[in-house]
Amino acid sequence: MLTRMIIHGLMAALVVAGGAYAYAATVQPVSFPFHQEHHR
Amino acid sequence: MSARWEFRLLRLWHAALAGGFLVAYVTADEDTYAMHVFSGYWVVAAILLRLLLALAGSGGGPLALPKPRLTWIRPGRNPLFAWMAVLLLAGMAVAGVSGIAADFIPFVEDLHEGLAEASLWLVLAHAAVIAWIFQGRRVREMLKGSAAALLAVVLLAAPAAFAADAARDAVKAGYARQAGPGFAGFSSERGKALFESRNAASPDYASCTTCHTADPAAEGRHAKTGRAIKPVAVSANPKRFTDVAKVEERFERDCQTVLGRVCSATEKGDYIAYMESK
Repeated sequence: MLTRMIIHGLMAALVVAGGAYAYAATVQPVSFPFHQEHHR
Repeated sequence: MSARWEFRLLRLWHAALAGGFLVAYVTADEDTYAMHVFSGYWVVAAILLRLLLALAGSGGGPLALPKPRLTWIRPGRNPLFAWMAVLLLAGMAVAGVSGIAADFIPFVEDLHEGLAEASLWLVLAHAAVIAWIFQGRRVREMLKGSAAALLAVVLLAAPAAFAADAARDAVKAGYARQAGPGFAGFSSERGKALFESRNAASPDYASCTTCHTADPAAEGRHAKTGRAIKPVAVSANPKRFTDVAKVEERFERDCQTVLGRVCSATEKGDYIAYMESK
């Protein structure tokens, strides 16, 4: 039960991180676009 | 809704909140600010959803949010469970809302950071309490089994906490080696000149001082996002320049941003020398 909850939490973290990454890729100026701006 | 479905929903919600908090916590850096914003809103939305779920659930069912009481009415749950839930939800809710507010009211940033740190400890305490109650024997056996390993980690980690100066010296020694023959030591004066120089590479980031302010011992603020940057001077922030990978990553990024070119090994060493002198 406890292990399952931890695994579910980590799976949810992956989902949130995926969404956050996708969001970060669409907004300026920091985060990933910020890096890309300087590594062209 | 049946209790079984309510419990499933509760577990799903718990995973969503825990996952969102984890991502928000690890992305709380100016480099990953947009991810932090996304996951922060996720956490706030999850807490609002929890209140709605409590309304949708049956009274006394798994989704109900019982009012925390001071006395334990037996048979029934220990009221500490309800208090723990209230503390966690309130801590995270205020941390999340103050994070949103910090974009408009900068001084709320400190409250946000303080509550986020406190929330992490609350989460860890929550997990420990639950593990102890429901898996007590197994957890105790696990701890007993790994006591030697834990002790070794503590013994190894304790000197590391005091080894910041040595780590910084090692970073500088690396740059001294890279500087090659003819290297005659780093200069904090040259580092100061580099820090304060104004450049034309990027109008938004004309100088290091644009974000770090003219006083390296003061907290900086990102020119575009307005987020706080920890002091760059070693006296105010002893962790600075101790992680070689991080130091390289920041120099690579920030030299390109401010100067429009890579920094030489000597320039990097000079910069660190200046920050050590402040």
